[in-house]
Amino acid sequence: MTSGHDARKPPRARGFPIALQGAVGALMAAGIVAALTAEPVRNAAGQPTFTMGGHGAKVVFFHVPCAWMAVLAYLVGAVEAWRYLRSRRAAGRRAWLHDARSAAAMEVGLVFGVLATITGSIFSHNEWGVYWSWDPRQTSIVVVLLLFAGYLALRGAIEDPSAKARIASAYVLVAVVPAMFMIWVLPRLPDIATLHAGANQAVVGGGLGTEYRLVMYGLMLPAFAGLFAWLVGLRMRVAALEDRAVPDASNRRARADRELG
Amino acid sequence: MPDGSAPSVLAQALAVFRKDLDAELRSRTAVTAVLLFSVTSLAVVGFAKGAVAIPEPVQAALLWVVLFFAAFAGLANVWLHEEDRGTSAILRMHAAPEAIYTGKLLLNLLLLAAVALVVTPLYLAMMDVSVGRPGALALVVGTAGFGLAAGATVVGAMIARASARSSLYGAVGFPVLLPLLMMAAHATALALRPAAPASDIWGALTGIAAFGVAIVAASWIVFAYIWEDA
Amino acid sequence: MDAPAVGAAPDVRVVLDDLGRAFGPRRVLAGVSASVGTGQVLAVTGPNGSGKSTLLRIVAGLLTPTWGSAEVIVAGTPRDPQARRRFIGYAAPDASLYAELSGVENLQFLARLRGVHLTREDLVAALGQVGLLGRGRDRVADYSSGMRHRLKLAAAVLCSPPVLLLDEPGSNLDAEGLEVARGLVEAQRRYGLAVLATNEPRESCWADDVLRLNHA
Repeated sequence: MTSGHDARKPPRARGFPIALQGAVGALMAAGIVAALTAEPVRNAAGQPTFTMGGHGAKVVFFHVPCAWMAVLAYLVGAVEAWRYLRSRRAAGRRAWLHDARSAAAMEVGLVFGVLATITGSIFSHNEWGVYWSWDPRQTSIVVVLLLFAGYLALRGAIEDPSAKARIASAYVLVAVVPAMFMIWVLPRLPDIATLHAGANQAVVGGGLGTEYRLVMYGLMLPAFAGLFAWLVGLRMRVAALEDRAVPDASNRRARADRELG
Repeated sequence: MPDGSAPSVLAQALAVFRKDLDAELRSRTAVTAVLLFSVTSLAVVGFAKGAVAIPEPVQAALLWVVLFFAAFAGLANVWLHEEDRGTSAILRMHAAPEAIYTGKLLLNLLLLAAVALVVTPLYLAMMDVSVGRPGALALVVGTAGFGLAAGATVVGAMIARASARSSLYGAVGFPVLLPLLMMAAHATALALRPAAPASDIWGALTGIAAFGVAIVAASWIVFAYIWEDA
Repeated sequence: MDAPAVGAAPDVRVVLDDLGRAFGPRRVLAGVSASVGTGQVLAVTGPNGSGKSTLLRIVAGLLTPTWGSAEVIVAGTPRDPQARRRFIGYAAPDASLYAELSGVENLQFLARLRGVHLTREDLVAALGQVGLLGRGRDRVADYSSGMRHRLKLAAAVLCSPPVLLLDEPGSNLDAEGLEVARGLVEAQRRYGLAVLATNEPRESCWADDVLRLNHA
């Protein structure tokens, strides 16, 4: 997966501790139950604020954490890419771990990004009757998805392991510029901001009640963050196994593979 | 025996620029590719439009779609050329990475300026677009063209090291430049209207210029990692 | 072009210490140690794939070692991989010059990058020593492979670098060309040191020392 800094001692990646696995599972289960049973948000007149008797908006319990994890994944990917570039000449497994974590975060980020997009359009459909309207948030998640996908495509197309790690890391860092512009600059341009303000305000100012906030920030976000870390750890272990893979000598096909180099 | 002082990055960058310009003037590979591509896509767009009147935002967006693909058709050439002909090792031995990046960026800026000078008037004429503020339009095309050339240059450097390059340009380059293209299309649409407030155009121009500068700064920082084999 | 005074060979040394390099899981070089100083020529030999070219690229600063180190020490100071390059002349079969430029333009471009302005006399001398006089204005694309190799040699010794690294110094050369290459390597003893990667006995005998590589 990366530069073979030490071919004799292939890297190992530590697994996600079993106690934390249990904690993530418990939080997630509690979060799902709490989300499904939560009282619908009502306005001052006692009417449900959202469609389907107020239940139509509950997809946000999954949507918001997924979107946060996609952004977190990009942050982890960028920070680890930078740390990889700084440490790549040092011997040992440190550089390998940085690059592997960066790549794993980008890959897991793509999954959360896709989930955020799907849950987001379900919310949009439930509340406004259309799956897609190119409001600033939808546009920015598309750009972030494309950045994740572009990263993976670039990574897949470079064969030399060291060049793959270096150039992919450089891509994540250069792409911080468009990512920041999508999040902060573009929505503030006068025309674009006013065109879609309605859709945006409905989500931002959509008044999540105290109970919703507790479920969202107390249960769902920590559970998703744990899930994210777990998945990144798993992906890194797979990467480590791929790099360590020594064909089994008892297997005829593997032996032939090895003889071919 | 070389003396103690190495030539400055700028002197090296200008030498790289001159070498590439000489080679380009001789072969005209990049400029031909870019111009042929632009004229073809202009013809397609013009044909598709027919006699239909299209609104300003669409006119503006189409112009930038044409310029984006034209840029990617030709601007990566400065890198492919070194990589495919096996000259990059000698270049690495003689020039600092920052100088190489700067020299290639200068050539690409020149190329894109040439293309924009041909494509924009041609587009306006073919599409029968009326321009409310020609000066503002020139500023927008110039500023966004700078960002477009900068983005295409750094992405081209990355793709030059990859296999299956032609299929990668879109996948890798488009997300990096999409915010710029959206801002450029937005600002172009404003410039086409005679009544658009100047402050809006200035705001959009600032965003576009900041994007170009940020891309150049990020490229400058990471370029050595893309270019060096070590 | 600043020609060094005869006898004023600069103090330069290349030191390889337990050098090794892997490409992904594949090791091409391991445990190589050697030292070359001013006035000396080292030949690196070994079967195909034993890492001769890799070793030269590491010394040139184009590749980083996976294990150990390769130091280039000029005037008592070890130079990092990028800073050492302007003290090095490098020629290799896979390091081409610009085919779309002429021989003269190639030399002028490379000298300019090192901050040296070539006069007409410098160019005549540079082309003359490799037997390319009269062909300097032709595009390198129109050169034969032997002529291209001669031009690479001329480019490598262009600013009289204290370290000369030649990968297959005699490839594609005729008998006269081989004499040219041998002459350049001999002359290098006055400017500094040379490292040659070759399997040709007639080339490795130009060296004082031979470093034999085996498969890692």
